[in-house]
Amino acid sequence: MASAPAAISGPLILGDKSPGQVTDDVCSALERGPARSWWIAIAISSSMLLLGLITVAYQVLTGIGTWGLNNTVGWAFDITNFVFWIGIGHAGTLISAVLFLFRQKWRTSVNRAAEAMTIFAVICAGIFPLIHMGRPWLAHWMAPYPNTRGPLWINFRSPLVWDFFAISTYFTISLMFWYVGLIPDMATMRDRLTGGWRKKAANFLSLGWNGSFRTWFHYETVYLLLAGLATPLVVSVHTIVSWDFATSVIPGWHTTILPPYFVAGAIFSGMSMVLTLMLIARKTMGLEDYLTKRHVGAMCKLLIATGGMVAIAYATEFVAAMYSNNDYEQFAFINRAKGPLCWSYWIMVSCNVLTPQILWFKWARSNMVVVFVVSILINIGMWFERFVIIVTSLHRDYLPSNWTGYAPTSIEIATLVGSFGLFLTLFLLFCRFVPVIAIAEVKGVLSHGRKSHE
Amino acid sequence: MTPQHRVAPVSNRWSPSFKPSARAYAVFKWLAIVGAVTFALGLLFTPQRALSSLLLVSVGLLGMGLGAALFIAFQYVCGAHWAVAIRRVPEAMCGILPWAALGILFTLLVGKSLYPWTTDHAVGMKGIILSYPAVLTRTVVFLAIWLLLVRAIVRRSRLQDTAGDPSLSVSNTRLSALFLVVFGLTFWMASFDWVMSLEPEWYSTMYGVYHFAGLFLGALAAMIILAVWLQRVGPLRDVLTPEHLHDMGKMLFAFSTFWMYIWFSEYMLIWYADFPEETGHFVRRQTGGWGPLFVANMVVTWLLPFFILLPKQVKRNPNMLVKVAAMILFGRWLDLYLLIYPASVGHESVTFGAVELGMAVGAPGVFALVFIRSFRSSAPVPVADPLLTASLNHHQ
Amino acid sequence: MAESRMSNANQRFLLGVFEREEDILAATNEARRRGLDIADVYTPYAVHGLDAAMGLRPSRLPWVCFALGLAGASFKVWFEFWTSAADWPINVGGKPWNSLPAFVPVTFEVMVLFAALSTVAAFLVGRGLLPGRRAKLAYPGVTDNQFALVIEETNATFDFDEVSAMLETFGVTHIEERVDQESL
Repeated sequence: MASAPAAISGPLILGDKSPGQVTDDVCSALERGPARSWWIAIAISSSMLLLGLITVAYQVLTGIGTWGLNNTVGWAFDITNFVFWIGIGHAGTLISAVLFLFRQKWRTSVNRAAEAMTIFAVICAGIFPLIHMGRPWLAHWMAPYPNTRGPLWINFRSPLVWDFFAISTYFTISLMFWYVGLIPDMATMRDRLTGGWRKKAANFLSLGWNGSFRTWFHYETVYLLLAGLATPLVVSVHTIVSWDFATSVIPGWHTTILPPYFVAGAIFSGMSMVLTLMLIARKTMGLEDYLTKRHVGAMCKLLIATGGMVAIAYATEFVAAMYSNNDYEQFAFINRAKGPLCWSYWIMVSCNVLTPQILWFKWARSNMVVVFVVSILINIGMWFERFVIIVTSLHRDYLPSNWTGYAPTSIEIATLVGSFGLFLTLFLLFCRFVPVIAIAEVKGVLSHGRKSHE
Repeated sequence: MTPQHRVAPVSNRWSPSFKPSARAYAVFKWLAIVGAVTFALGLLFTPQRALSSLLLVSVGLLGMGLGAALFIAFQYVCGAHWAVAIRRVPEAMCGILPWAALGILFTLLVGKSLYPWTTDHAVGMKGIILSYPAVLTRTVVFLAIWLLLVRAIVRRSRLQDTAGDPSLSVSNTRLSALFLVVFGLTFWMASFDWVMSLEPEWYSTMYGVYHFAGLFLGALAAMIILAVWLQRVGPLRDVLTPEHLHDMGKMLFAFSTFWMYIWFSEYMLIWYADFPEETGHFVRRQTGGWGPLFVANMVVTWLLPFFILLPKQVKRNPNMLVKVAAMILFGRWLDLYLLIYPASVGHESVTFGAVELGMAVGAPGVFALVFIRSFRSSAPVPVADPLLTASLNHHQ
Repeated sequence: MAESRMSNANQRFLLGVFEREEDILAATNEARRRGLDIADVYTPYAVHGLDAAMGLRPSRLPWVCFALGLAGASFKVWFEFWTSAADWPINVGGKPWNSLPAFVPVTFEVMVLFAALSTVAAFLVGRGLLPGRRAKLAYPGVTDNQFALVIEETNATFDFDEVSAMLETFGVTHIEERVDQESL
């Protein structure tokens, strides 16, 4: 309702659908056998996943000496991927929780898929610190439990411990939020199917949902409360990720603007990933009536806004480093722009600052090819942003005799490819087995059967 | 859209006949006079304190105007209708901008003693950024651009009342987007120039964000108080509903928490890294009697508002909401006092006396007088805005 | 609660089925205005304004959320203090034993976790939504595109024909009478 009335901006869902048509449109896509393109896509993505699995097994068995790290650059590719994937996840929570609080009704078409993306992205992100531990079978040492080692408690002053709590809470809450949203749709699928394993699964997962409005009423309260909790949670997660860096005394890492800057960057990158996936799903699954140009336009505007915040943060950091008159601070930022890894800096600036500016134009926002290309470029730019922050701040540290370079090994690249394989495989499976559009929520924003619609 | 309107947007219904009571007017006038007299006397006897207070109230009042302008710009850019009916309140709040800008220019021109770098010149890049001509040029340019853009937006909104042209909403949406971009690119630098450079050796990249958080929170609080007041005395009687209050209450809650988040992020990072050159800023504000104020700032700006505003009923209750908003405005003064005074007047002990009190009460007086004059110069609601009907009938 | 009332044997219910949101809203409003006892309404999605039409009181779940969130945060801040400053204090990076600013992040996360998990658990248990539970549908299609209004026939003065006629004016597509809970 915070958006303009329908009389001015047109309906959210095209084709004057009735609730029954929505059920048909979304469910029939699941009930049809998969298209050829789906089989091709899953063949590619699962091959990537297999490559990742093999390389992860190799790393765990051999040790993380298989990476390109050295004494000076102790954090590089894996942590870049970790921050990248966590960032991707943030857009899902933004759409499901923040836009819900702002009563942005256009979110109903995209929130299911975006939330699924959040869950898969967090899974991908979690893999990297797990491998980096070197002995992932001792990962449970991260949890504070009475143990026979003292008991030796974990160090609650460590940002890495904060991160463990943040990521695991974020994963739990996102999964729960997603599932709570799914319950009514599972009931719809259950009552629609006549038999088979899908009906059994839907029956189990729908928890006996019967559409009682007394239940709906409490459900709405739960949804609002979860949105109210998930909103500060999503901010806290990337804030804590930024604190992994900002609590240190490394020039380029220790800068107080990092928390809001990381949060804005996370939403920026996540929104671009949502757009990438949405534009593909829209085309291949025939959901043009649900994912309209209006939805794409709204997401493009969010890209301009969050991209602008990121650009302002780049400028603030640079000017403040000059202002500081601190040799190390100044050098860290000049080294980014002019040092041996300057190519990564300029990729970051051109993808994240320059590219989104084209979206100011309406023709660009309504041209799906342009939007798709922009979204891919931003994905790349945001990956490089993390690379720039992490690697260029480390590779030339306080002592010039320590200065070194960094290049990823084939193992590291294969692991990144594998994480994309995992993400895409999970997403493709999701498209086949779960209603990709929140059926019950979309029904709530239809103009059908209403005297007045806001 | 609902076919029948709850109230018909006919222009003669909104005649600008609003006049505050003589008593209210006298109170504001005397407050403003007290502020002006204390400033004049303070300038003669304790110039450093008078100028510090002038910087404090100017930055505070400029924040009110800029926060109101940002509110208007956000509404246009988002295409949101809910606040259209009360948009004349933030529009009239923008009227303070020229006066606040004059205060800041006066401080920079007369109060060079506040800024150590004007006498003890910095070297290197800092010397280039913090040279007197550079700061003055930036100040004039930033203030001029903000004033021009805000004036253009307010003028178009008012022009629409008589012209009735919906395309003015479109051009205002464009201007609003432009204003948001310009504000984002310039404001943080202005906050460096005017306030952060009081301690030229200290710097924090969060500083601009922190000022933005405080500025928007303060403007929201003032907007709530003014809207409820105008509803009580007449012009917004049939306009402001509990639904509008509920939304503004939610925004107040959200931005109070945002302010605390930014505050904590800055504090915790500096506490954690423990660089002597950075921690000094906070040490100066926690010792020498400043400690209780340092804590009180968090209590009145976030802790109490957070718990009071949690229930839905409070956000819809004008009496409660106004009290919380007033508390937040006090917190806003305290926040700026803590930023400015330990740096420019002295951190060894808390300095508070007639000058500070007089100017702290004078500022709302000046603000109210300017606000009333500006509010009376147009219809109390944007009568021809295409989204007005939706806003009048706004519900959750 | 509706369920407990419905479990009384020999209770009679009137079921009216609608196809449009505006009809179910208007019919529910009218039924309540006439003082009829609305057992429940079954809808495929959360119809905006139906809670007011049915006269439902606000949910108490926010209290669960607030109380458990506060409990989680208090517990966690105590636990962090106890492990870091009391049980086995270890000097890490010269930070004080009681590093309150550093304890805030985890405290916040645990607060969110407690608040959210307890709210959802309270909702599911309170509404009897449990894995594998068999759904009792008031009418086929209430999870798809049908809206069903169920009115309890509370006493002898309940006039079936009069209520049916009222529902007819709102475009009811199907009316039936049911006895006892098995049919619902």
